[in-house]
Amino acid sequence: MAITDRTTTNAAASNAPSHDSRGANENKFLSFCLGTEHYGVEILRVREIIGLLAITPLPQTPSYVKGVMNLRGRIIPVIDLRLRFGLSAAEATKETCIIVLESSDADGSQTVMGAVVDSVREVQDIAKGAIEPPPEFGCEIPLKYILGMGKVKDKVIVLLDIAEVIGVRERAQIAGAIKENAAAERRAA
Amino acid sequence: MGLKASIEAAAKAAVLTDPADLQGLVTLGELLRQLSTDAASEGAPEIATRSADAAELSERIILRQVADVEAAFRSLVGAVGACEQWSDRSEAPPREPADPELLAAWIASCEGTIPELEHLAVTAESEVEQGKGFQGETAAEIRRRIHTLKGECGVLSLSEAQALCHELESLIDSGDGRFPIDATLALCDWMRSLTHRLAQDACASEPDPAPVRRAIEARHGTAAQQASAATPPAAETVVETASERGAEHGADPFADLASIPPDARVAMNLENVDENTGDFALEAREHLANAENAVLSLEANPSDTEQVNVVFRAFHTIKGVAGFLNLPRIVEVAHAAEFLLDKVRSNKIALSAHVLELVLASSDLLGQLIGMLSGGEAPKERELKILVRRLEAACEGRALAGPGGATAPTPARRATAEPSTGPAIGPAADPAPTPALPSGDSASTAPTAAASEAKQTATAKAMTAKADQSVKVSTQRMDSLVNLVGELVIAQLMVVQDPVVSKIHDQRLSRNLAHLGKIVRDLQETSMSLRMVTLKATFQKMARLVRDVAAKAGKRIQLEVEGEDVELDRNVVEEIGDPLVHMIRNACDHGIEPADERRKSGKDETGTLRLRAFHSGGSIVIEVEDDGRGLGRERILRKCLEKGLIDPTRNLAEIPDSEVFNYIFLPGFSTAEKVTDISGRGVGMDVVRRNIEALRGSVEIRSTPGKGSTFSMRLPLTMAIIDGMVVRVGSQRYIVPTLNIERSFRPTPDQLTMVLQKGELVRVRDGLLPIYRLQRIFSLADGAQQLGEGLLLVLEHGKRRACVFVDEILGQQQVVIKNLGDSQPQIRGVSGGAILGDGRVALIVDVGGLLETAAGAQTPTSTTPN
Repeated sequence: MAITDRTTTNAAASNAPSHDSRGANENKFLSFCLGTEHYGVEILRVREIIGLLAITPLPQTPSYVKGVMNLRGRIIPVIDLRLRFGLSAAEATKETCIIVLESSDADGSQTVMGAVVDSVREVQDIAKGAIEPPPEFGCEIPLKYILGMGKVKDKVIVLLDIAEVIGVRERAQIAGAIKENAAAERRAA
Repeated sequence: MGLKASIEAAAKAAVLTDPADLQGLVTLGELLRQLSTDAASEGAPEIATRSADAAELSERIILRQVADVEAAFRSLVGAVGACEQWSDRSEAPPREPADPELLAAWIASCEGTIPELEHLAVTAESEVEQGKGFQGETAAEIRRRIHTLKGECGVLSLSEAQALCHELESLIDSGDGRFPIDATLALCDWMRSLTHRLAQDACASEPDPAPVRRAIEARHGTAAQQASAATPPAAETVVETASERGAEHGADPFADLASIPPDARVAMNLENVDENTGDFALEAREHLANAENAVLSLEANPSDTEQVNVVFRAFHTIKGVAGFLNLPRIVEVAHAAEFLLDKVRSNKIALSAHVLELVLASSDLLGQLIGMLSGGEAPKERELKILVRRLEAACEGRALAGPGGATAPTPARRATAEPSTGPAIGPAADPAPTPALPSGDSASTAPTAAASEAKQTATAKAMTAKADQSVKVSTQRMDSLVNLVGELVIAQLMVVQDPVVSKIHDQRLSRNLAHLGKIVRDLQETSMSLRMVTLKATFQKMARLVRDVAAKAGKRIQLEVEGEDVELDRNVVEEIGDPLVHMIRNACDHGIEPADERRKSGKDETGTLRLRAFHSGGSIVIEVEDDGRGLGRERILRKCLEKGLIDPTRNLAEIPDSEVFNYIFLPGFSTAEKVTDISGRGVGMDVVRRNIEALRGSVEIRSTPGKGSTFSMRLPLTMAIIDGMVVRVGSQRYIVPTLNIERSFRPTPDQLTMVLQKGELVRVRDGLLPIYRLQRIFSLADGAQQLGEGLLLVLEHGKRRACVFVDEILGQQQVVIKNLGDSQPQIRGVSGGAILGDGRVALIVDVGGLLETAAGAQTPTSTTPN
């Protein structure tokens, strides 16, 4: 089935910090909110959760790229998940925070990226069996970002495929957008 | 999981985690929950509640729902510690002494069994030695005894004894006809010691099982090695001396190797690969590199005995360590080579081109074998055997050719005579113990030979003296040290720039802070210099490369090297390896003409390739210069027209050389008529440029038709730090490299002019300069609008000069350049990011890119010097 295929390839491609805990954390997801919707990401892809801090904007990048920030001496890009998924922007609140995600691609490249979300909820166990394929329609975000729908207690949360959200294809898209913006600016000049 | 085990697991996890380790915290939380469950079911309610609370706390830490993360984490660790203490109080009781009658009876029976077991083992051994093979009966009897012993030990709760018996049983079961005598006897000794202890004290602990274990391990390891007369030779054999091979005549000296399947690969027991083997691999490679260099130097100067020693020592050392680490295949090859070299250095065998070739081949093969330790591909078994055979033959003065090109040294290498600057060398026909080093010709050059020999030994001594004063450090540690120092710099800045601190006007404090600052800066400089290495190793690799490529192309090329002591950041040195290889290959393949063509144009038949490194204006320049035919301007232009890269209406003659030459950097561009396997595929030069630009460097080409070409790489001295001016535009800060700033000033209205309502200009001493507003270029929301309210920075880069408008200059400081995200795409005008004193990121302006974009220039992919 498509979903299990993707989860296994993700597990295979995953290169989370070499830690004995990896095995134990495989079925755990971190749930967070964008507006009223609940989403989840595999905890193995989560490096850190930090409060909102100063983000330096990057020119020529698409609007969902908020800029870059300093993560303990390392500069990483930050995206706004709401804008990325085509939702409307929101005002930052006390609960707004940044989830630092990391993903490895088949070609060995690794991405660390921050994603701004409205709030984080909790860490939950979601067995593979409890993950269902996404509905054909009615989802606010493009299907390619969705790993599946997870049932937790009585809620259904949208599980995101991090490799798609921040992986190499995503970066290529951002790179393309930057080139386009630069070209557009040149033409206007 | 038992309660004790749960607590241990949780305690261990707590020690290994820290508040920033999210994955670790998740695991710890899970373990704590598990612990709580276990504690509850095993009747330890206090532990259960404490660990449940701790689990919840860990979750809150993960979700950053606690005010003080550090304090929360500390109390989490404390909770785990408390659980440990609670459980320690109720320790499991010590082992119950076995029923004394039972124990006494067992000890008595052992006193009979152990000697019998020893007797059987010794009998078995002598049977094997007498060639009777291993009698199945005896083995079965021994095994039965051990099995019984194991059971008895189990009854008496002697767990260690039980385990050892079990392991020995397995060892016997796995037997390949050879009985593990040593291990059995070791067990017997051990059992004796055990029975003695128990006889004195029924609750005594079991003796240290290590010696028995070692015997068992050793048995596993040497099982394959022992080549007993009775058993057929296994895949890994002991080195056979040349004398055993001695009388091998016949048309094909390698005929007997036909039984080895052609694709069979060398097998090596990699079970014991550990960090020692890693160190060995590293050092062995160094030794091989030294040996190779010595060989190259011997080719030019065969009478240099010190170099022969170098080669000999290299193989000798590798053989020794490989033997110690139980790597028999490596020992086999190293031994054969060492043996040959020993004969050479004691003048029993002449140093010939054949010998040198064999040495190089051995070095290559050893390199492959060593590569197997880290998972590399194994060489072919036949190759190994053939090489060893040839080495042995050479020891007897026989030069065996490798069978039809199957082995590494190709006939081509020998056929193309390298320009020999020393007397002619050839295989000695007579392995008599007279110094067979080339005499005759060298008689007249003896004094100079001796002199240069002396000089070489002297420099060799000096070099080893210098080399002894260095230390080997793991690169990981060094990188983390450099990173930490970088963070120290920032932390110190944060203290100094803290608003509260800067308000304090205390002389002593200021003095101390200044002192602190100086020490930190010095520390930073030193740590950055730790990353500097010389180009020597890289250039030496190139020497070998030139030799091989020249031989393959059938040309004569000599390499001259200059500036190998120039130091560069380690990462840069690594990255320029590939570009250099490309450029050298191209020079050898396309640049330098074949001997007869050179002769016709009146050049020396031997082409010269010069590799040069030197400092120039804050950068390092590395040049590859050849005296070949130069770049064909016409050919390049033709190719460009073919590919539609040039507007056909342009006057070709007017296109400057620099532009023409730059076209060869485009991917897929190659004017080579045929594609050799060295080059011509058009892949090389674009990779070269990309690698160099990734290092913030640039490449330039100069060429004269018929005379030669020079490829010049310019690289920044350090990767990481630049001196920059911090400027403010609106609420954002940027860093402009001071190297590109000429000066700054506040413009007065009379200096400003407007052109066609679009361009702003300012009048300076020597003319008019355009003004670019950073706010517009970087699409910022805020910033000063009136030019008179801000400052103009006069920037220059290469040939471009312009003014850039900013709100304010905040200061000047050195910053550590960081990439924007691991593989962030190129943003025009931005070359990276830096972390300022307050922890925020400021973008570093790429002045060249900025000026280019702003000017709206439309140059094709040209490279601009930094």
